[in-house]
Amino acid sequence: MTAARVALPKVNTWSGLSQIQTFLSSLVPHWEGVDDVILDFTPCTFLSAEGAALLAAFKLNRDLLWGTTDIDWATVSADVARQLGRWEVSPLFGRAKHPWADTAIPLLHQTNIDHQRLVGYICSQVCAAGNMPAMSEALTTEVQRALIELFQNIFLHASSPTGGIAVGQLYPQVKEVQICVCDAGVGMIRKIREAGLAQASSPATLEWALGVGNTTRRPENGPPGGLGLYLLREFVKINGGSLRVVANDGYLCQQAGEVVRQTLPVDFPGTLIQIKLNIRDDVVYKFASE
Amino acid sequence: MTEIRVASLFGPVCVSSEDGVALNVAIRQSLDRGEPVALDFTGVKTLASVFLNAAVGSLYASYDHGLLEDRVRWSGLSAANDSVMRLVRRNAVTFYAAPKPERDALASAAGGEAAAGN
Repeated sequence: MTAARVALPKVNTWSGLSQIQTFLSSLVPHWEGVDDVILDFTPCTFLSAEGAALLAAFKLNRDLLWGTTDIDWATVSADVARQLGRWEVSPLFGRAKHPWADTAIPLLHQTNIDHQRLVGYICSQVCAAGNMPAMSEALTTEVQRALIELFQNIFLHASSPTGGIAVGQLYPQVKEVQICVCDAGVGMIRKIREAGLAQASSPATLEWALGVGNTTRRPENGPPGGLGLYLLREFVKINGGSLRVVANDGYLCQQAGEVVRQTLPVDFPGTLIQIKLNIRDDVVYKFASE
Repeated sequence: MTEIRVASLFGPVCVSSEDGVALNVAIRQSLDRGEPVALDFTGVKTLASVFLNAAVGSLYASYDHGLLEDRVRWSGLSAANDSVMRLVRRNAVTFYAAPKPERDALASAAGGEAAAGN
């Protein structure tokens, strides 16, 4: 059988939705496939952490199926190859990682939740970069809570055969940290739809999932839920950062008080959540409870 | 009065539902003896809603709201964690107070063990 050659476009996080949408459109037709795939990076002159997270999830998911998934390294620019090595994504494709991470937050992959390792990941990979401004204890604690809540969601609800993935990027110049969490599960919208709680549209369903106390859990089976994503959203809001969620064909982006919601032309079988945070110590993280 | 030092039992990172269930059992034992409970969170750095939902939120399925307000107290939380605790309690009251028809409709729609949003 001839391998399908899949050209990957560049993905720049800050370019809005179009590039990640095109990136997904390239990968999704082969997500569950048993065909052999060779990834062609010729058009991919830049790859964001979101792209890296999707790429890792794609590879790990396909590794559970029959088809092989390779990168044509001859098509990968030196910069992108180095960045894949820094993220420690290249070892998934048989290439050694880069000797040092620099400003990359390397791949974390868990097939079972390991809370201590998640906390350690924040301490060693997110907070400890030599060229980053120090994160306050309060911010560190909130980042830990955010990552743990996201991974809890994956293992409680996503039915992801590959477990959960995190990868990120530090931006010392602008004092920002970006963390992407991805799974190859059923997708948040599909899960809510299966529970009979879908809203009028996919973006509206995402909005519902981020609301306080909104959960498909039943009182008969408790315990209560529906706070993890709400806390994440509030944390990002208080911090002044941004939140992007792609799940199935839904997209939601919250940034600077503005929320963009959109239905995608592609149905991504999983969930990708990106948070971008400001390294600042002038805010108190206190969540409204009334 | 039963005092439970949470960090002594579970360490500074309290994030798993399993640990939350263990704390829930300890709280129930005291309440069932008729004793108030004081939860001392001194030394706890990171709290996840999953832990608090299992430890405290699920109490609201079995005990009266007013009784819990009166008999379960806590101390030693940072401002952020304190606000999460208050949110968990408020959410639990709402969760278990859903009208029966609404709960039945939800149960019927949800089928098996569907869940999203921890």
